[in-house]
Amino acid sequence: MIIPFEFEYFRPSSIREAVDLLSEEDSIPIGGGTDLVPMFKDALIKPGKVVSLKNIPETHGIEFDGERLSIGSAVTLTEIAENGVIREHFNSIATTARNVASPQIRNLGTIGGNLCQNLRCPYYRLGYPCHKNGGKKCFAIGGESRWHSIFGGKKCFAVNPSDMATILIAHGAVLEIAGRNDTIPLEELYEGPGELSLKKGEIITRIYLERRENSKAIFMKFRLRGSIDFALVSTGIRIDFDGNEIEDASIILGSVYGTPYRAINSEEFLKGNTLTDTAITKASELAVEGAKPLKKNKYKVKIAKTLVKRGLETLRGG
Amino acid sequence: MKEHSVEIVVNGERHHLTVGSEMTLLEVLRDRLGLKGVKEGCSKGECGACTVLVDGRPVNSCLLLAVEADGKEIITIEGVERDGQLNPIQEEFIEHGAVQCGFCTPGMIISAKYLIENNPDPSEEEIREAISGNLCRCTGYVRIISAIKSAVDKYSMR
Ligand SMILES: Cc1cc2nc3c(=O)[nH]c(=O)nc-3n(C[C@@H](O)[C@@H](O)[C@H](O)COP(=O)(O)OP(=O)(O)OC[C@H]3O[C@@H](n4cnc5c(N)ncnc54)[C@H](O)[C@@H]3O)c2cc1C
Ligand code: SF4
Ligand code: FES
Ligand code: FES
Repeated sequence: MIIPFEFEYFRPSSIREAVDLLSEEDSIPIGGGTDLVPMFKDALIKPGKVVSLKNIPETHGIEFDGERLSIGSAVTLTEIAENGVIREHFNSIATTARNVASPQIRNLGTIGGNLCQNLRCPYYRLGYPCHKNGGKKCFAIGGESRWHSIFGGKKCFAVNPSDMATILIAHGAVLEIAGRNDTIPLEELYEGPGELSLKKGEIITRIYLERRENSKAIFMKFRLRGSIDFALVSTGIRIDFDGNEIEDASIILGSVYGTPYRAINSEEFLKGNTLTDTAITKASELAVEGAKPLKKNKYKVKIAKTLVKRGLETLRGG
Repeated sequence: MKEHSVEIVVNGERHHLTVGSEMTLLEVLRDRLGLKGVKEGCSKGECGACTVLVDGRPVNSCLLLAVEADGKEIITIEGVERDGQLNPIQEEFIEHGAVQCGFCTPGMIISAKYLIENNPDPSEEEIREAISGNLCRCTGYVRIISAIKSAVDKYSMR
């Protein structure tokens, strides 16, 4: 299968140059291309200019100064999975990277591309004329909705499929965006299904997160085949402890809503509590409180609840 | 720029080529260099039939733009044997009957080669993980896994 249109390809070596190119109409950034190249083949996106971010020094490298972890946006998922510092201090992030796609895709795919990846709704990817392809209808409603949102939506019910977003938001990651003075919380990148808060020409250059004392985190992913599948539901959980007591909790669910979903009721309930059996059960129920599953995806509510429960049990255990 | 001149080393041989921005490494390997051992299955990153080593790491050649392979060293299934002598992984795939239609085999062997050469004593779990991006519609994987296990032993005796 070939890419059925021509485009210009650029490989700038500075952020300045990349931003200039990307400010031009009809241009798009590319990391590893594992998401974009198949979309090009299906002509779902037809840019005139493709700008690689992989030749820019600032988008590379993983650094840790004992407090803050810094990851370049063009770092591959393999590099994250294999990095010694990440495995030692942020093992849940290494585990997440290892659970994305396949070894081949992790060798190409970048963290920036993972966070910005496009929707996986099959109607969208097959080119159905739905809202996201310029049409006026959602085919999932009344059609095949088993992979879709369990927390409602507006016009589109596709979910954000990024595994890395789930765990990195739980860790409170922030993004450095070229041209902006301040970092933004990763959570604020996501505005709706397939909608990012990046303006034309803006690119993520680095991702930062702080190490916390007395903190534990875990990533869980439920998928049908253990090998290469996207998550049906994923969760990233981080708990900060003060002795046995929970000082702060972050519970993020992935692949359940148009953006990564913060289980805020569950987080609030856990603060000040300890991880008893009753508290864990209650927290997992609260995580899916208010769920509005579609015709064919009630099962995902149960999975989400169970993942949160198992995640909390694991964090308590060791 | 729509056209790019690239230099790639494929199975030890250097090539200077002009490629369009929209060409994938898979197209270049198969259609320009005639390396038909590199298979095209899904063309979307899902099956692994197109797996090759790029600078030593397995990647889906259907997902990599050819222009991005510039300056890189590539190994395809055609480059796995040495002087007409099959690699132990190839021998063990034959020995164990791990090949049925054969379509997945080149990609499987490339993934297995990366594993064995970077982890001399992989567990069964690690073997499964290493070929998790390679789909096989025929064998049910059991024979593939036992072939790789035997190849591990042969490598360690070399
Ligand atoms: C078979 C298959 C299975 C997969 N399974 C999973 C899975 O289990 N979990 C999962 O999370 N993902 C999965 N993926 C998605 C996979 O594409 C991503 O995980 C990968 O990390 C994307 O990175 P990339 O660099 O290849 O992205 P690209 O394709 O290069 O880019 C993706 C998007 O991000 C934009 N972009 C890239 N970098 C930046 C940047 N620095 N700033 C702003 N925008 C940017 C691009 O313009 C594009 O819109 C799978 C993909 C395939 C093909
Ligand atoms: S869920 Fe979104 S992407 Fe899928 S068919 Fe509906 S509008 Fe399109
Ligand atoms: S042809 Fe490349 S992964 Fe299927
Ligand atoms: S032998 Fe036929 S696909 Fe594996």
